[in-house]
Amino acid sequence: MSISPFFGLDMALRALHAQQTGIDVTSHNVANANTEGYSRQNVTIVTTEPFASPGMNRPASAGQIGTGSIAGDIQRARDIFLDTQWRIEAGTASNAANRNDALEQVEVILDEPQGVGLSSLFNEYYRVWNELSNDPSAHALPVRTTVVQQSLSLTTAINRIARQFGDIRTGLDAEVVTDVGELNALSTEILQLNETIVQIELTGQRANDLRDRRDATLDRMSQLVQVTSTENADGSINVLMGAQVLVNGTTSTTDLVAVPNAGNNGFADITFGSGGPAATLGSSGIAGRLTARDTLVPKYQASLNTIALNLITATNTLHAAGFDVNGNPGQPFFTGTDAATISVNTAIQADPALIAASDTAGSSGNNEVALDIIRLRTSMSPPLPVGTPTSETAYNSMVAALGSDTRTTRNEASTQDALVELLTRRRQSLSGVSLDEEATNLLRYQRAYEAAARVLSTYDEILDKLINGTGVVGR
Amino acid sequence: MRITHRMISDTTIRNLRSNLTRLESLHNSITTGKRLSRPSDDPAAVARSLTYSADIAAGEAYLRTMDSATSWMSATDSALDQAGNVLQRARELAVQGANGGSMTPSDMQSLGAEVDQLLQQLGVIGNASLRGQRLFAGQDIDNDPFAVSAVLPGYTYTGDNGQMRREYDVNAYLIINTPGEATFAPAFTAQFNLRDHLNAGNATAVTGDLSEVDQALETILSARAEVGAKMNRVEAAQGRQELLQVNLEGLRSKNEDTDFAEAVSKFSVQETVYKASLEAGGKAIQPSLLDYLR
Amino acid sequence: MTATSVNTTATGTARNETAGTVSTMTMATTRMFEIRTTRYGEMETVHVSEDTVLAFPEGVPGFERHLRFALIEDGKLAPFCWLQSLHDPLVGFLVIDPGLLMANYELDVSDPDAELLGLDDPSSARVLSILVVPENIRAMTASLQAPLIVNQRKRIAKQVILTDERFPLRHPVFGNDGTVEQSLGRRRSC
Repeated sequence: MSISPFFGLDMALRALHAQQTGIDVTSHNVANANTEGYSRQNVTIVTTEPFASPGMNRPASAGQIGTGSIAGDIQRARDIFLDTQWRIEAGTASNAANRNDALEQVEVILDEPQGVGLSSLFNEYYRVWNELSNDPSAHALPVRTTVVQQSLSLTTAINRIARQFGDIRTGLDAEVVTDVGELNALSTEILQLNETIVQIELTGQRANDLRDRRDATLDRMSQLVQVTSTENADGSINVLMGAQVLVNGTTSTTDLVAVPNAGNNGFADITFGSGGPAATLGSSGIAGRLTARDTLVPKYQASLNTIALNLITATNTLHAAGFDVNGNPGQPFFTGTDAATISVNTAIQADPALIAASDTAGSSGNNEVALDIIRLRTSMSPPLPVGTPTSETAYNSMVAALGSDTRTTRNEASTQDALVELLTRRRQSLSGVSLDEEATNLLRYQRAYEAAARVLSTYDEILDKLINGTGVVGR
Repeated sequence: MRITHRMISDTTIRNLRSNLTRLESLHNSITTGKRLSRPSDDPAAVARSLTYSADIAAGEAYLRTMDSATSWMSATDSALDQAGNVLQRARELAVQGANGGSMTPSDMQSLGAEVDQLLQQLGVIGNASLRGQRLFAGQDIDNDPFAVSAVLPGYTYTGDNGQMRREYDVNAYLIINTPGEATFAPAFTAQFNLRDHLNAGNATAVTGDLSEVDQALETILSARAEVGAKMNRVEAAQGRQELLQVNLEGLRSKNEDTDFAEAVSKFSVQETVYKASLEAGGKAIQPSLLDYLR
Repeated sequence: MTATSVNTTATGTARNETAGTVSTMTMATTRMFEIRTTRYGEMETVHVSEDTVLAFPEGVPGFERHLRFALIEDGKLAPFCWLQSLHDPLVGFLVIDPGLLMANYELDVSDPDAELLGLDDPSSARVLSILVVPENIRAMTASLQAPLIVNQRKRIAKQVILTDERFPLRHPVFGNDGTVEQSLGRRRSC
């Protein structure tokens, strides 16, 4: 049987369209070579359903006649497993980076060993008490004044550091709140993308660029909290944080809420939904900041508080057993209970004669209590329990611990960064646009297009002949 | 054995050639690490460097204490010296008085008058002070401890028996003061008795006083010896501590290398010149170190 | 990252047939190894040869547990040398030949010290002074009163304290009036 020339025309046209699509997709790839998150698109050119040749129930001639080709599916080159892996590792990297950041801020505050940190202030403090022990009498007022001044330098520095530790925590809290806001905005964005994607894909097309954007949004979310996603039949996705559903297809999102906790300096707890349970954040960026805020920095606050309290208690105990210039028992030398509140007794600040250097009332040349206070530099007991570390030992340990912790998190962060870099490159090599490859594809489609066009013009000629060259009798 | 500089030079010259050769062939791969500017650069090293700084500060404090202690003891020694001189004179007068035979009561009384002067002097010496702080009052340093008395024992002592302690090294203490009463009491009493016996013309008693004076002198001398020994101890400790300080300060933990490197680099130029001159066998006069740093 | 290279300059083997023994003659093997130092202010890793190491049986006052030091003679530092403790990279001293700073610098080494150093002969001795370099480097001082005596052959050293009043503990390297002692036969090296 013969095939209608119109049939061939149709086939050629389809071929043309198919190749045109190929060219379009290639151009799209090239244009998006540098777009972040863009997944290279492939055209799958499939053969159309072959016709069975006409006939009663059965083709009369052997074989089937092909009907040409159409651009089938435009797929994104994407590996879901790789995406999941990337998101987990990027989240861990954010976590480590945030913790490292906070610790480095703590280091800056302490300013050791090159700066004028507490270490050198303690040295100066003991130096002036030594001066007093060499000249404890009432007449040595300049020496006593120096003791007050230097002690005050020490305590105000301790106050300042305590305050700055608090500032770091406050800063971290503000960043957490900002991050939570960002996460909620991202959830909303996913919802909107879901809606649009579903609409487009109802028409049978693939919303590839929008899917790319949705993936990029998921990437960003995973740097804040640990998320997983599942795709629904309609093309929308659900985004879960642990078992908590942040985005439910095209239906709804649930925001995370930062709730100030009065029991924790007013710092925010994160709940899932207003009035909901604690959010299961996983171990990503926000969790890293929370760890720094509530565990890492407080550890150093506590160390400093202990150092301050021990100094206050030990010094005051010794001082109380002493006598000042007027023969009166020593008042507390330090006031306060912790690093934020430690200070020199204002009465003593006003009148250095009240420093009780002597252990005997009215004994002007007696310096025994001053000697006792100096001895605290090498041993805190008595008056504190045996084994209590000296200020210097405790402080040096704190500095060493800080150094060690910071170093560890720094290494952690850079190892994670390297891993993420590796995964990024793998994603890139899979989904990324290779301009060479695209150029080759372009050539291929163009050739095929030209071929199809020639076929079309052949048919066109035949038709032309048929239509215009035949049956022209009587024209 | 004696090591002289010339010998050092000869040895050094011999070594210089091989040193320079070795310098050139020395495999020197410097991988620059990080400066110790943050604890996380090297936590253990930072903790240690804080300890070295604290040791230096403590050492300085000890040195100052030792200076102050030495001042005190030196002043004490001077005062005791003066007290010794007073007693020596008293002794001379006692010797004269003991030879009672050739002396008239009024002669004896003249001696007695002088001994009275000496007694007053002793009172002044006993109240000696350094910058307003009494040396012999125990811890009651703001008040004069001694007053000459009209009755035995010849003085009143209103100081206390406190010890003035100083810490000159970790848990190492020194008592810097000399006990006032124990040291001066024999001197006061001896002179009191001597004066009274001289005034009474009692030559026999004066003979007895002579041995009292001798004992008083002995007490003063032995107090001086004790002070002397302590001062030696402090001097030795000071020398050791000063050496320690210099060694500790020799550690270069501050980074002042910008200037230093520049200064040193100028020497490298000279190194070449010097090498050349050595090889030429010349003994050119070497410019001074300073020329390259000006 | 760390490599220890071994430099063997010559090895020879002599075989004594009749005695049936084999003797191996090995020329000086200078082993190189890595140490950490802060000599330029930064913590760095440097390769030094084994024969730069000095044993200090008594350590140095203040650093009694530091028993081994490497004397690094780097052309960049000359005429100064760097004495680096192998016990702690933070402990290192700038040193110089005191002869560069004072004419007729001579000293007596006591018998016990000479014995400790295994010093049979003055010519195998070498003298170094520790320098203190403050912020203003022109105020640099040398510890002439407490030189380091080094037995070069046996690689043993010790810091001794001299009693000669001419030699202070803090001798200004550049003098109070900006002049340096002229010294005959003064040489530039440690």
